[in-house]
Amino acid sequence: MSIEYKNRSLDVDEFQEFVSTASSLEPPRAVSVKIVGELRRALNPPPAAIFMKLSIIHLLVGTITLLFCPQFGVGIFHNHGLVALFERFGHLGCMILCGALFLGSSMVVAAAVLRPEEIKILRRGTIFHLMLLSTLSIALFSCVNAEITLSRGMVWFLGSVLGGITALEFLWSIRRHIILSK
Amino acid sequence: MEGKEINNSGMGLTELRDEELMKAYQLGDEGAFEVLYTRHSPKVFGFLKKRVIKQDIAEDLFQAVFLKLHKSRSTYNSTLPFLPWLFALVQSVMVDGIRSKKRIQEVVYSTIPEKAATECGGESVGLQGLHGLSALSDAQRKAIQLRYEKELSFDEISSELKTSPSNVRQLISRGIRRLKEMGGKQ
Repeated sequence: MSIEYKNRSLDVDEFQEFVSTASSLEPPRAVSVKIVGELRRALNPPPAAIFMKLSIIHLLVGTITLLFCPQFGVGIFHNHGLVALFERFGHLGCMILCGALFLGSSMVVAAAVLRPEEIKILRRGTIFHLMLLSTLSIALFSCVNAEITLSRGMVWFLGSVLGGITALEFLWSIRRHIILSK
Repeated sequence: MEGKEINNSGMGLTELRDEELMKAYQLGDEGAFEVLYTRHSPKVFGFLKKRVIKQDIAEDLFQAVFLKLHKSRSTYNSTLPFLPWLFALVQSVMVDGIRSKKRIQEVVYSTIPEKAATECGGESVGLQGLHGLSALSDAQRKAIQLRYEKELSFDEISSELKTSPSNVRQLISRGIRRLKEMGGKQ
């Protein structure tokens, strides 16, 4: 006799035997230590490796955003893109929105493609990761002669960190909902 | 419900149902995995032990079950009961294990020249008798011999050959592939 489970046929007798298998048959301790240790490592990936992945995502996504939203005058098509729209919120508002878009879009993609355990680690140090990524981005922009002043840079920095946090939390809450509702 | 929240509540992952633990595990909660492991590892190991005589093979399959559980956790649908899903996983690992062992034996033994096989009493021939093995590198040959003649585990072979278990797996799979290619040419 068999039952169907997700298109697979399970033998009822074997399943009953499996369910009632005596709990005295503990696996060897060394094997348990190895399995639990291996999976614990897999569920706690090193933050440096996650930051590396995040940087690669940001390099790709950030480059794409430069197509339609130049940062500190650095763009790909030398157009003004969304800057005209953002300028409606004033000069500071524009810098905040530019920073938020630049880092936020990367965090949207990161929240969608990273594994849940990687996002868990990322969220433990979101501010640190974002500050580091923003600093590296500003450094990279200054290497290509961007027009960065201290005040503009700081406002942009603030926008990027806030935008990054908001995007990550928003996207992760959607993804978490999808995982839990399966 | 979220894995982190469950952990922080402190009121016991152990009190949660398997299906709830799987949800937390899908969100990356290692505590949820550990509770599931503690709860079900004796069942899995006991079931495998009844079907596989050799301890090291049972242990290899047991490890494979939990590695597969980890890799497939995102495919689990928590509206369905957990135990049949785990059982299906155990069965599939057992079938894969048996198939691969049989396939390897078929490949290895198919390289035995007919005359030598007859002289040595068919399948009881030692691996030293295989012509095919001489075409392998020393490390590949030694790894295959230790695995299929002495039936050592990957860990034991790795300490014998002073290399990592993953390298041992690679040596064996490359060796088997080479033997297969040679079998195809004959």
